[in-house]
Amino acid sequence: MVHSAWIVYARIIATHLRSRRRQTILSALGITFGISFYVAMVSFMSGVNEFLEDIMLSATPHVRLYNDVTLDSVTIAQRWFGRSAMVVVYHPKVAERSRAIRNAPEILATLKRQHQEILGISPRVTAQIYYTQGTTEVPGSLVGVDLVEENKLFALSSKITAGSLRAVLTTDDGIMLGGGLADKLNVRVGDRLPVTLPSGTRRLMTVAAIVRFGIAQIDNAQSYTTLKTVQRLLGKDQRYITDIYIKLRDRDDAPRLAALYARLFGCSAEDWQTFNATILVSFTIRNILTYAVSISMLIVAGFGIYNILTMMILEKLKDIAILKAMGFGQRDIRAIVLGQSLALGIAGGVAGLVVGFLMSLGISRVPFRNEFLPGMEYLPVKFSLLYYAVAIVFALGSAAVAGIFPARRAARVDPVSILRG
Amino acid sequence: MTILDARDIVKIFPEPVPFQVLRGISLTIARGEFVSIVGKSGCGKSTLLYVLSTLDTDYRGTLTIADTVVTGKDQDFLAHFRGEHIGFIFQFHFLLQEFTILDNVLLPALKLGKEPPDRVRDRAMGLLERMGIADCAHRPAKQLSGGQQQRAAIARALINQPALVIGDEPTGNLDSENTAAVLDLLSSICRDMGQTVVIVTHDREVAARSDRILTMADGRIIGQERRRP
Repeated sequence: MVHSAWIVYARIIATHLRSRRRQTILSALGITFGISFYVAMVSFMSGVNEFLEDIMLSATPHVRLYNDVTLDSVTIAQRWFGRSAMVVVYHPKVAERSRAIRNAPEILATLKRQHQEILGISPRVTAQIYYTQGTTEVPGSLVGVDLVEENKLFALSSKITAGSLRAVLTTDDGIMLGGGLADKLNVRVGDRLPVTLPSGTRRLMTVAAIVRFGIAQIDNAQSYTTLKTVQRLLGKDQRYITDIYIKLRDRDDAPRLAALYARLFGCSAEDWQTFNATILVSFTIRNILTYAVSISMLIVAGFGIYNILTMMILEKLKDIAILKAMGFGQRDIRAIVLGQSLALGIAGGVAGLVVGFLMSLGISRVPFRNEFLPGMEYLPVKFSLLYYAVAIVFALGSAAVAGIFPARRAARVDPVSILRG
Repeated sequence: MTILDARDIVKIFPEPVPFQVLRGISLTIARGEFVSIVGKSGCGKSTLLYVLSTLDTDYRGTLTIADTVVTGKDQDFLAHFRGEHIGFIFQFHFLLQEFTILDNVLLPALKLGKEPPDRVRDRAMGLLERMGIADCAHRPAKQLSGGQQQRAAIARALINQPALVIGDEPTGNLDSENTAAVLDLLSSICRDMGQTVVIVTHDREVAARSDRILTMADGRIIGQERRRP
């Protein structure tokens, strides 16, 4: 009767642990410490990771379609004469090729109509320009977007620190200037700002809003205006679209879909993971660090359990011998000692979850404001049941490992030598 | 009817120099007998008792208890076998000090798990009543006197109604009043319940209460005296 055996084990385990309350609590506290630290660390780290990922994705699309301007490795002459002929072309140059996506309006229509996996699409026209202030020229880019659509995808209005989206739409030649640029050029909302195109075209824009994403490359170089303004500036028609930004329902699907779109529409496509590879690696490293610290703490806690169990066994040699004489086998003794270890693990682990939750809650209440990280008011913490489940598995795992050797040692105790005294 | 049969039991202590402590002992004990083993200290009587109890498995020869050859069986089998067929009484009672008297008596039966807990509990209370310590049932063992603890130990030895009760100097640590009480209990076990009792003692007066006295010297049984048929 296995069932009744476990009732007996439980009674012995409970009595033994109760009789040395202080040691029991101390060794369980070791686990509590490790587990709570793990929960708090991993919640905080994931919160930071998620926050940074959100910032990253607030300015970058899940998939970006564009027309890559590359030099063909095979010249037309070679194509004509075939591989057998030797063709030498001196100083090949890229032909005057449009940066615009071919058939962009049709692609947009197809994507909108047929692709359920897409959450939103925003066409853009980018132009390299110089912002002129007095005699200095600051290089940067001007992005023409469908502001209403873009606002839906990237919540532009929440990142505007001065002026408004409406002002950009209603002002003639109004632009939304990157925060870093505004600082550099020392301009405010309402100021006039001349811009120059590489072709020499100059135009006087009006600063209608200032936007900050928290990403230096963007804030220091990029401004927004309407599609039409940039198209006009470049002297192009309405079909001239250089990029299509796509937001997906499931962002993890981006690499697959990017490849699919590239094939379907004959343009280049880039997913956000490729675009932000270095940042993603830093997330991984942070995670490894969190786990390394937590696991080493659990190992220390495991040694605590190992110590108390070994001590308990030495103290309880007589009890073990008596139990053996009374009909408890090696298997039973092993189960009892292992059970004690697991009881410490469970008690310490559950307490650790509670303490860890409170610590996470505390961290999430620490005010943290930074002008470069708009939208952050408190330290970011991610609350996920998964971390708590992993933590309790860790607690039980370290307790089980810590209990194995003491359990085997107890099972091998020779009752005769102890009972004979 | 035979409850215990030992054939040519030889045991050697390897340390510090090899020493043959049991030199080929054979004996047979019938069901319901009360047997004492006496002898000077160092004659091997306790060693023999631990071999007969199946706790000591490091010997040569063959041991059969309750028609089961126990020689060569593994530890977990023997542990279960002890729980079912053998009850122990030691010189120093050896109760689990942190447990209540009742729990001490109950544990072997709960471990064996042959009967429902409430029936086992009733029998445990009955035994404690018989030992005269029923009123202490719920007190931790460590609060009781030596005599009371030894009675609890006897109750514990009897809880699974073992065929064989083994005692290592069961009265060695008791005053004369408690010794008399314990001996009364042991002889009544044999008489009333048909259980077999084997004890080791160095006290001739204690031995005199048994049915048969085996005398040991230098690892051999050198004589036996049958006091009752």
